[in-house]
Order: sequence, then structure tokens, then C-alpha cells
Amino acid sequence: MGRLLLCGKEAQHPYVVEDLDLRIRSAEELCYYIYHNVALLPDGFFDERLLRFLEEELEMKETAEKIRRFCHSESDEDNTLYMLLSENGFYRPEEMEEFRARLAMRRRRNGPEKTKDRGDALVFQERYRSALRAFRSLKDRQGDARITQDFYVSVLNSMADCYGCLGEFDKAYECLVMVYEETRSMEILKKMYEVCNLSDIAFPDCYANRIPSETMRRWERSFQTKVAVAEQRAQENPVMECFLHDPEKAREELCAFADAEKEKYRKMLE
Amino acid sequence: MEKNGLIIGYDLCKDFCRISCFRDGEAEPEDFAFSDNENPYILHNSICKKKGADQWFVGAQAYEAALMGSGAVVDKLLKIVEMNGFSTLEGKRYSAEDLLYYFIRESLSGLLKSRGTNEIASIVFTLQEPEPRVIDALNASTKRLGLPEGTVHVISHTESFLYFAISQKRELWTNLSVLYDLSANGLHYYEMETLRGMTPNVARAKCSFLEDGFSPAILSSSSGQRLADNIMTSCIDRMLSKKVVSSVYLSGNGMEKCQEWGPSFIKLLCQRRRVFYIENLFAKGAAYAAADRLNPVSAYPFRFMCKGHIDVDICLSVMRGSNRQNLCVAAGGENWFDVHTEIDFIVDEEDAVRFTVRRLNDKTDGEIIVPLDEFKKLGRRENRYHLSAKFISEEIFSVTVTDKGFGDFYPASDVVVNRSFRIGKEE
Repeated sequence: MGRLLLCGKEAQHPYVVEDLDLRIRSAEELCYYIYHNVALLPDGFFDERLLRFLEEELEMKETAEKIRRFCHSESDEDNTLYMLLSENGFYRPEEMEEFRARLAMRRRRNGPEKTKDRGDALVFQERYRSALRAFRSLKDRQGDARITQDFYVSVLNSMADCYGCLGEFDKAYECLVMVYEETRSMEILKKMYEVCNLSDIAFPDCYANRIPSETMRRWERSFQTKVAVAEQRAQENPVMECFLHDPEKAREELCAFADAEKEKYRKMLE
Repeated sequence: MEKNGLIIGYDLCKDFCRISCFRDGEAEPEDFAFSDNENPYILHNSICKKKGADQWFVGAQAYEAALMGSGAVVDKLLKIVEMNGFSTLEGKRYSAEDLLYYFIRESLSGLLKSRGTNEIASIVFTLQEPEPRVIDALNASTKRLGLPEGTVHVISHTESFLYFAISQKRELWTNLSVLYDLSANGLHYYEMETLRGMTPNVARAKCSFLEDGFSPAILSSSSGQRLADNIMTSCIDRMLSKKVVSSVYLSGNGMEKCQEWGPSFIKLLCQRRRVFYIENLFAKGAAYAAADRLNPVSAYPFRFMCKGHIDVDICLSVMRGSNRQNLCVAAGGENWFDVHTEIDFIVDEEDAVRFTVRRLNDKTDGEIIVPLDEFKKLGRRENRYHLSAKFISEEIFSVTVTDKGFGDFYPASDVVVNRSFRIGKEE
């Protein structure tokens, strides 16, 4: 059965999540942020800043009072997160159970695993620089007994993806080489080949010799197809359409597009 | 609200205004005398700005100032407001709203000074027929005067009569209460009755303009008076002979000396009925209404129904937190122009906003549906919509839904959905 969810007050002064450069203005947005970013929630999430926001901006004094009374430990914090989302009613019961399960899983993760989850969540948000900071902190802790070789390799793989998205192909390549040396995976070798094609890095013969010629030809075709698809998508961009057919409107659309892309790029680098 | 302030009923007619007021705890409103002239309780709707100064005169003083050459008079203010007109005084353009603001300010200043206070707890303006433009202008003017929202209301003369009649002793409204109002606007007949056996009980009033009425101007001659007496006698015989009437009220400047010019109709009227002449009836009724507005819930055990009041309850089923509840968007008995609901909501697996419309008379239910398929984002819950619902006339209910996006997560689109629905009144 459908529902109309009555929204609460909107804040005059938003709650800022600095990691994501996010401004939250309502209880619904807060619940959405919590539900979709469990991995990014810091320890001590329910600090005075958040509680003041709930009380003064959203006029949720009772809720803030409840949080102050009950939230003393990590498990308390999980229960409090659950309570906050339940009271708001934004998510259905089955979604709340799934949320509870994710909270329980998070509680079972050790420190390095939580950091990796945080990095992966930041990659999903296209915050590549922030993600790299998290991954580098793990790379520097290679001696930690909790960091297995497989775990270390997955961290390097994620770092390679981040560098690739930032266009820093030399660093991406370095990470991929380390991964390949551990795993000897053909998938990783293919990624290395593609990174070299995207940049001016020469694909070393010592690796090229390990690839059968038929496979190499297939990789080459696959790469060319990907390039063609990307070029086609760029042509089909509505801004490009506008530029070709309506020069008057083009300037406006291009400015808006450029602003949006700049903003997106700025967030990637934070 | 400030309960120590004045409670004011302000009768704003086409050509003049009257004021009645009291304080919380006082039994009866008192009519305010603007001057000590022949008609002290009437203030003409005229205004004059003193030349070279930021000083305004109203009523008779405005005419006097104009005669002395101190400024130019502007009258028929209500007409100017209705036409959204303006006036140019000393080379400066004053909108209808400006003029109304200065008029109300000056007309209230004498009252506040006489009562030794600057506080107004509640003020109700009463008009023959409230019109949206006049209502907006009154709201704007009183806001400019610094009166907080919720302090100011507007009602019709019919509703004002209803409040007046029901505020009298019970024996005076056990059966019908009627009113004949004779003024330059003509002869109007009002009738108030209470309907029991409904939940809650209903007090209903109606008004009709009597075509066979006359202008008070004819009362200046003896032949005119005889004619007027005959007309009134005929009216009363036709309208009241078969009705059980507890009380009859006479008001308006035309009825002031009715015992002199209308001996026949007065004699007929007083047969088994109690008859009262109340000079400031509408202002007094508005004052009673203003006092009632100070209570969180009306002190009268009746739902008031008259022209301008909607006779339906309109509700919307919503989730507040995890609880489903019926949100009342419009309550039967409210003035249509007072209905204005603004909410923000999120849609979850719904394709329309569905209002339930319940008629008060027979409790039948209907539905009003505002489809949301013009918003392409219905598949996604994370989007906030703003809904504004109000009546734009007594029978037309208008709903506007606007896309507000979802904060920094998802931007808003330009889509706005507006639908209007005719909600006919039951006869």
C-alpha cells in the first residue's frame, strides 16, 4: 500500500558532513544519509553538534533527549541509529531489518576492515582522494596482524581504481603491478594493459610475453570498443546536441555543465 | 496571544466603519465613539493627508481638513481596494493597500488611546461580502501595523450576525433570530437558527437582499416614510407570519428612528416577538467572534454555518513517523478564505495525492485525486514535494504540488502540478 510521508521542519542552518561536503537540512535527509552511509559514520556520531542540530534546527527535542539518555557505547550507538530511523518512519520494516543486519555486520568488522569499507564507500561517492587517504592508511599498516595478504591486495586494487579515475595512470599502474606480482591474475594483467594504452606508459615485454597473441588481439579489440563507446556517449551528451543545433542556448547549457563537472571534480579531489 | 489587549470588532462597510471592543473578562463589547457629533459611532471611509507633513486625517476630520485646504480627501476606500486602485497625493502614488493601512491605523489610534493601551489581543473585520482582494489588503495592512499572524480575521456580516445572536440569552435564540438591516446598501434580511440532533449542533445563518427594499434617503419626507412603513409591513407579514421567531433585531442607520416612521410595521413586529434596535450589531458580533478566536477551541457548542463557510471536511491520509493519521486540510464550518494548508511530503509507492471529502450534512464521502505522474521521479522515494491546498472561491478547491528535490542528494525539477476542483454546496 502506498504512503505519503509527512515531512518535518527544514533547517535554516544545515548540518554539514565535511567528508562528503554534504549539507543536511531535514530529518528525512539525515535518515537517508545514515541508511546509505553506514560505513562512513564516524565513531561518536551522536555528538553535541548533531544533537543541537536535532533540537534547534529540526525541533526534535524529545528525540535529542532520548539520544542523550541512552547513547553511551558502540552498541548503544547502533541501537540509537536504529531508533532514529524507526521514529522517522522513512524506511519500511523490511528495510529497517536490513539496516539492522548491516549495523550488526559493521560491529563484527575489525579496524582495518572498517577502514576498507569506509574507503570503498568513498569510492562509491566518487570521493577518490578521501578514499585514497583511507587506503593509504591501511597500506602503511602492512605489518598489522589483522591485515592478511589477500586483504592487502584488495586494498592495492582499490587504490589502483582510484588513481585510474583521477587520471594518475602511473600510480595506478604501480599499484596494479604490485597486485599482479602477488596474484598473477590475467584480469589484473588486462587492467595493466589498458592503463598503459590510456597513458604513455610502455607495456613491458616481460608482461606482454605472458599473454597469448589471440588473447592480446581480443584485449585490443575490447579496448577499442570501450573507446568507441565512450566517444559515442560524449557525442550523445545533450550539451553537445545543444551546441550543434542551438548555439544560442549552448552557452548557457555549457556553463551549467562546466560548473557541474567542476564541482564533481572538486569533490573527487577532496 | 496577548489576552490583556483589546478585543475588537471592526465593521468595514462601503462608506463608513464602526468599532466595538472589550477586554477579556468584560461581559459586553462597548461601541467606540469616534467623535461627539450627531452620529458618533460612525466613521466615514475617507482619508486626507496633510500637505507637507506625514499626518493623516480620517472621517469627518478628513473632510474638514480638505475644506480648510490642508489636503485632498480620498473616500470610498473599500471601492478603491476592490478595484486595486491608487491615489496620487502631493505627487506621491499611494496604493489601495497604503490608503487602507493609514485609515485603519488612524481609526484604531483613537480607540487605543481612549482605552490606555497599545495592545490588540484579537481583531475581527466584518464585511458585507468578503472578497479576496479586500481580505489580502486587510491582512497586509494589519501586518504592517505589527499585528501578529493569528490575531486578525475576516468574517461576513452574516457570520457576524450569527455570533451576535448566539451570544445573547438563550431564550432569544431558542427559535429563529432574525435581523433587518437598512442602510445605503439597501434592505438585508438575516436569519439564524440552531439545528440540534447533529454532532456537533449547528448554528446556521443566511442572508438575503430584499428587492422590494428601499434606500433610507426616502425617509426624509413624510410620503417616503409612509411608503417605507408599508413596504416593511408587507415584508414582515410575508416573511415572518408562518415562522416561530424568538427575537428580531433592527440595525443600520435607516432603522434608527423606525418607531417614528414605521409605527405599523413595528406594531406587527412586536406581536409575540421581542424586538431590539442594535446600532452597531455587526461590529458587536465581530467583537464576540474576536473574543472566541482567543480560545484554542470555540467556546460555543455549535458548528457555525453560513455563506462563505465550507460544508465539507477535507482530509489527507499521511504517515507521521510510523503512525498513519488523517490530516485535516479543511474543516467544515471554516470560512473558505481561511483554508490554507501547506505541507511537505515524500511519496512512497504512490502515484497520486488522494483527499477524502466528507459532506457534513449527510456524512457522504467522496475523493479528490491529484495525480503525480507528471513528476518523473515517482519511482524514487527520496524526493520532497510541497503541497499547498486552499479554496480560491467558496466552491473551488485548489491544490498545487511542487517538486523540492532532496537536498544535496537530488536536485529539484521545475515541474509544478496544479489542479482545481468544484466542491458544490448542498442546498
